[in-house]
Amino acid sequence: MSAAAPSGPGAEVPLLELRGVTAGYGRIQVLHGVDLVVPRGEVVALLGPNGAGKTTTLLVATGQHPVSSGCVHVAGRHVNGVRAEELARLGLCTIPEGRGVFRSLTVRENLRMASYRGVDESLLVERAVARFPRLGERLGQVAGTLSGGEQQMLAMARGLATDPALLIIDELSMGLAPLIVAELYELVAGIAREGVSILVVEQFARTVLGVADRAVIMQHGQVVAAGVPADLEAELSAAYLGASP
Amino acid sequence: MNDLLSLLVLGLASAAIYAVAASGLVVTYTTSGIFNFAHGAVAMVSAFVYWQLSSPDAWGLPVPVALVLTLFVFAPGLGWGIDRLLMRRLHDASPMIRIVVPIGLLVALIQVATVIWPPGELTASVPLFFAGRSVELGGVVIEYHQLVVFAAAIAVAIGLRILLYGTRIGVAMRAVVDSRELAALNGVSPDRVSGLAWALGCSLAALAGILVAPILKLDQTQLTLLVINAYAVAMVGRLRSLPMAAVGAVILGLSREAASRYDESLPFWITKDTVPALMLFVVLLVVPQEKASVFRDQPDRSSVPDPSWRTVVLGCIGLVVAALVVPAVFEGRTLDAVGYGMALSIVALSLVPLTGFAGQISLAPLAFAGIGAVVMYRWGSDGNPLALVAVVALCAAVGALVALPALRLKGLYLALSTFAFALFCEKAVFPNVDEFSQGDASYERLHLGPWTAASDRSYLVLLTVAFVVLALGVTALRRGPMGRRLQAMKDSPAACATMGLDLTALKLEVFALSAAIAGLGGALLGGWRGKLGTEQFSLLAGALPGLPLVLLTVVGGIAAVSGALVGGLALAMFPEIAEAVPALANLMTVLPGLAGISLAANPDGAVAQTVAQVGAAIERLRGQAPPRDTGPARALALLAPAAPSMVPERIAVGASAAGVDLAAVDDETGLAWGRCRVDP
Repeated sequence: MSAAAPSGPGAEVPLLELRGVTAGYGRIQVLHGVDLVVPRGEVVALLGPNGAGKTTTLLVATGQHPVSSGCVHVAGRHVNGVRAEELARLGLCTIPEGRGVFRSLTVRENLRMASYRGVDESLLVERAVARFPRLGERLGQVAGTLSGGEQQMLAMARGLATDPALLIIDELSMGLAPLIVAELYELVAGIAREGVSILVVEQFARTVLGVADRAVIMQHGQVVAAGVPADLEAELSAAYLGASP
Repeated sequence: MNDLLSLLVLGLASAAIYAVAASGLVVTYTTSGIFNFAHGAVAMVSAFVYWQLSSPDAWGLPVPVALVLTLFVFAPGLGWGIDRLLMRRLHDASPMIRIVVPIGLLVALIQVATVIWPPGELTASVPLFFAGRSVELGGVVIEYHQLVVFAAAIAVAIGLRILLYGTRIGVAMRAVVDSRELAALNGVSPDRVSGLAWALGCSLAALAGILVAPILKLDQTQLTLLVINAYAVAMVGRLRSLPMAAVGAVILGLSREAASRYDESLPFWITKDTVPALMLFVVLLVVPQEKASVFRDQPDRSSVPDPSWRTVVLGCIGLVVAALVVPAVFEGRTLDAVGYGMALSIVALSLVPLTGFAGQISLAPLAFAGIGAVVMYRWGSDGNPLALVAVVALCAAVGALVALPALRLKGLYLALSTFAFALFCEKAVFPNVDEFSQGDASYERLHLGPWTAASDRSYLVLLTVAFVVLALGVTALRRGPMGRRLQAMKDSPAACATMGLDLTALKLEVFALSAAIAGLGGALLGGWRGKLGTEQFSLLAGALPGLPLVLLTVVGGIAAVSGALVGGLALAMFPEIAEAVPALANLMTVLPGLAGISLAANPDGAVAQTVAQVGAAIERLRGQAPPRDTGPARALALLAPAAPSMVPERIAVGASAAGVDLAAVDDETGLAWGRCRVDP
């Protein structure tokens, strides 16, 4: 799946690569050898039905869940066992499932938290407000009182203000109105055009496929198909509906 | 007028100390989700350390040096250690373990302090700050020490406000409360933040301890208990709000002062000692319980063992045989301890259905036992077995009565309300029976017509048979419909309610049942001991049996009758072992607390854990079980990369090991490897 030998120093090395990753909870194994690649500057959609192992894959990739076997590489470096906060400080930005905001902190304090990733605090607010003017009006408001869409915006604003190398988004659309989802995905496309590599995990395939450069379909803890979205129609139906391709 | 003013000054001076103590509780609870039952004990130990450092009778360091060492070195170090060794393991633990481990710490700290500074041999006291100096304000003399206390409280309030809202690390502390995972994803190290919070919380406890020590005698339980008053205070702010905790501190400070001043005109159960327990109880009921905890409510995963009838019956027969043999082998103190342990086992058995099956955490089994003993003293001190009926009926009624207001409480709030009840019994109910409060309530042994259980052997057999009958009953309950309902309630109250189960009735039933069993244990203990008093049933006084009994039962495995037996016997036998083997004396004193702490590692209780491990080993030998999980080993074997593009380098971020510094930011990827070091 990945390019075998690099032609220059790190030129072809994907930003994120999972290789034969297995992981589980207690005695139950959830991932059975997952291979996944996010090449530089691309948007990759990770799709699959409920219980396919998407979220576990994401947890493993972001250092939130231990790997039983296999390796996780970030920009070619082996990062098994590196803690989530350390990966975050490297430049891996994760927006977790269901509104990644600190609900009891104000908008400004939420933005401020990103300064642990090494960006100056005032710069953070400036960048976030430049991207989402609506947040500028609510800097003093407690994040838990924002609307769902605004919370998702805040989570993205906080992530993007740190200039991440890789953005990982889990279930962006969860619990949001379709209009807002469309708006948010437009934003994702815009970010991608700036050169940020993005891994989007989604249960509902259609929304994300318009934005993704490539898609990976998971089922039963394994990758069953990967490629350009247009080529994956048949596999998608199979994965979601159980029909054979 | 002067009177009122002096009440105000004295009340506010105690309020200031409570506020300092409560703010430490709030800081640790909000950042770790763990209620630090040991807060008072940390305060007490710190006060002793301060005495050790500063007193001319001990090391005699200058007061400022001793203050700095205690507040900024010892206490933060202790807090950091507590977090590092214990509390960090509890993030995913069940509510019960999150309550029991800090209680273990509380007990252990008191016991360690008793070993280091033996109460009998040492009369330590800490002088007031600026002793003897005072100012007069409107005719009221205010000591300089009180001014120091006010200043400290105000400084703490302002300092905490600035820290939590004005600094990045303070915001990070609040962020970790919201979501540990999300904080980590933003580059915050939640472990470091919670370590800092515990260090800070313990410093605040130490400050409270040092401020209060001069007012009281330097005494392990007195000091601990005084800071426990802060529980009620912190609860006013639902353990989260510092300003509300300050309000609570003022309420408690003033009402305690008023209660001690107008003692004569108040009902007997309102005194300066009962006010904190009453306030805690009332606050728990009035202040709404958090709807959804920000700390994900961890399901109680503790397993409820289901032993076969054969095992249980064989165990029971063995126990009765042992009871017949023991009096022939042991005598005197040891025999006395065995009987005491048997009675305590009956009391501990009351926890099995309540906490083990139903997941309702009670810290008051010995308080119910005390009520049983009081009732027995009133109506059955001549050994009339009919009094046992009264004991059962009254204890069940009291149990249901206590449960009634506590019905909507669960987890920590329920545990604290039972704690308040136990304190109330200790301070208001037992002292009200004169002979009982003096430890002089005497009991005859039970008689049934002409037959009397006069000999030690017959009474021990009687105790054992009582335990066995109750244990069989509890086992039958476990296997019957009520046992299923109780476990269902523990697993998911919501699911039970949707199926039409009447949870109110079920909770009342199980509380009544538990109280009745505990009361029976207390009543039967009377005949064995001959004399009983408050001390045998107190939570924190004397040998402080109340909390260790709960601890040891949980360690024994609270969901099984064997756990109750282990808990009761262990508590009674530890002092005997200490007596017999002086080398182990200190260990035996500290052991109940340590055992409680050990639950951080084995949530199902040490006994259950051992049984499970032995069982698994046997199955492995027979080749029936899957091999032990060799996950890490397999992972290591696979570390080698599969493609040449992958250079496996283990990144140890922030490691101090000599490593190669990489370029600040990788131009290609934008990743900031510069702050990482790659192991050579």
